[in-house]
Amino acid sequence: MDGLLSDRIARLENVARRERAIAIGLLALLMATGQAPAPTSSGPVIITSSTSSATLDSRGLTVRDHSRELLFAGMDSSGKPSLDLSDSAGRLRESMYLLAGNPILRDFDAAGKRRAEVFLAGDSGNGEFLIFDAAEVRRLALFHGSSGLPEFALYGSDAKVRAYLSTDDGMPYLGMNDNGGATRLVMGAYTGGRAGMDVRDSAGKALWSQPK
Amino acid sequence: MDSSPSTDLVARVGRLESSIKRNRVLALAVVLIVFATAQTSGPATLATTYSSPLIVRDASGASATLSSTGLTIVDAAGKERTFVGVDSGGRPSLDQSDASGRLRQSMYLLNDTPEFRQFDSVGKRRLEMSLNSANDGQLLLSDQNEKLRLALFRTASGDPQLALYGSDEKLRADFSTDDVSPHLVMKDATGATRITAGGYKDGSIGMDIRNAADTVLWKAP
Repeated sequence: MDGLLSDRIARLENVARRERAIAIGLLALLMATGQAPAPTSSGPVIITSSTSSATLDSRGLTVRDHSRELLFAGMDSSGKPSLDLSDSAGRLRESMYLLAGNPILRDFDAAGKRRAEVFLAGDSGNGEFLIFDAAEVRRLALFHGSSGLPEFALYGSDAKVRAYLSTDDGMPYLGMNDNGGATRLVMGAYTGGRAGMDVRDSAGKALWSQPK
Repeated sequence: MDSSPSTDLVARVGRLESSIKRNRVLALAVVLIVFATAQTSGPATLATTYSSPLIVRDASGASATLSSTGLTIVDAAGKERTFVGVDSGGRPSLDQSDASGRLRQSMYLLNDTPEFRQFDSVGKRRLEMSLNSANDGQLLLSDQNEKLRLALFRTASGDPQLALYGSDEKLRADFSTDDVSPHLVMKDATGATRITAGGYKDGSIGMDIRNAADTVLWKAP
C-alpha cells in the first residue's frame, strides 16, 4: 500500500514540475507578445525624425520643422478650434478657426497681413468674402448687407466704397462713388419699381438720366 | 471514525490529482487565449502600432484621441470641437464645432470633389466654396433660409460670372464676360430683363432700359 502511494506521489511530483515549466513558458510568451491596454497619457506623445516632429497633446496635433511650427490642428491657446498652417519661416499663412464661435478662414501674406478671408458674421450669420491690400485695407467684398441684401463692393485704398452692386427682391442696382463719397452714377432700380440710370456731379445734381 | 495515516494520505493524494486535472484544463484555456489574441510587436524602429485609440488627456478633462480614422479633439465639457481624418462617410474631412458641439465649419471631399462649408449657429449652410461637377470653382453665399443669394462661378459655357439672387432664389443680376465683351444684366422679380449694359449677343455693345413688358424705353447707341 505504501509502495503504491509512493509511486502515485512520485508521478504527481513529475506532473507538477512539468506544469510549472509550462507556466513559465506561457509567461514568457505573454511578455513577448502581449499588447498594452488602450494607451492613455496625461503627457504629450512626441514622434520625431531627423527633419521634423509631431506632438500630440490634449489640445491637438502640432507638426514642427526643427523649431518652427508648421501645422497645428486642434484647440488653440485661447480655446478656439483651429487649423493653422505656417510657412518655412514659421509665419502663420493660413488659419481656419472659430472666432467667438463663428467660422472663419483667413490667408496672411509673408508680412503677416490679412489678405483674404471668408467668414460668417457673428451677429447675423451672413457669409462674407473679403480681399485686402498690403496695408490690410479692404478692397473687395462679397457679403450680405445690414438689411440682408447680397452685395458686391469695391473699395479704394482709403477703404471707402467706390462701387457696389446689390439687389433686393424687386430689382438690382449699381452705384459708383467718387473719392469724396458722392454717388456719381446709378443704374438699376429706382423708387416705384422704375428702371433707369443717371450720371451726377460731385454735388449730387443729375447731369444726365434715362429714361426721361 | 477511521483516521489512520494511510487513509489521510490517500485522501490528500486524491485531492492533489483533482487539482492537477483542474489546473491542466485552466492552462490549456490560457494557451488557447494566448494564441487567439497574441500579436507580434511591430518593428519598433519604424512604427508603433496600437490596436486601440491613443488618448491624451489633461487635467481639465480635454482630450485628443488618435484612432485609425483620425484625430478627434474634445473640450473639457465633453464636446467634440475638432476632427481631422476620414469621417463616418469615408470622406477625408476637417470639421470644427462650436462650444455647443454644433458643426460650424467643414472642409472635405464630397464625392471626391473638394468642398468648404460654413454653417450658422442653427446649422444652416451660409457659405460654400467648392469645385462643381465640371471642376469649376465657385463661391456661394446663402441666407438664413439656405436660399442662394450671391454666387461667383463659371457658367455652363465657361464664362466667369457674378450673380445676385432674390430671397426667392431667382436671378436678379449677373455680371459676366465671354471672350468678346462683358455684360451686366438686371432683372425684376418676374424674371424680366430691365437693364442691359455691355455686349449683346449680336456682338454689338451698348445699353438699354426696358419696362416690365419688355418694351425698350431707352437705348444707346
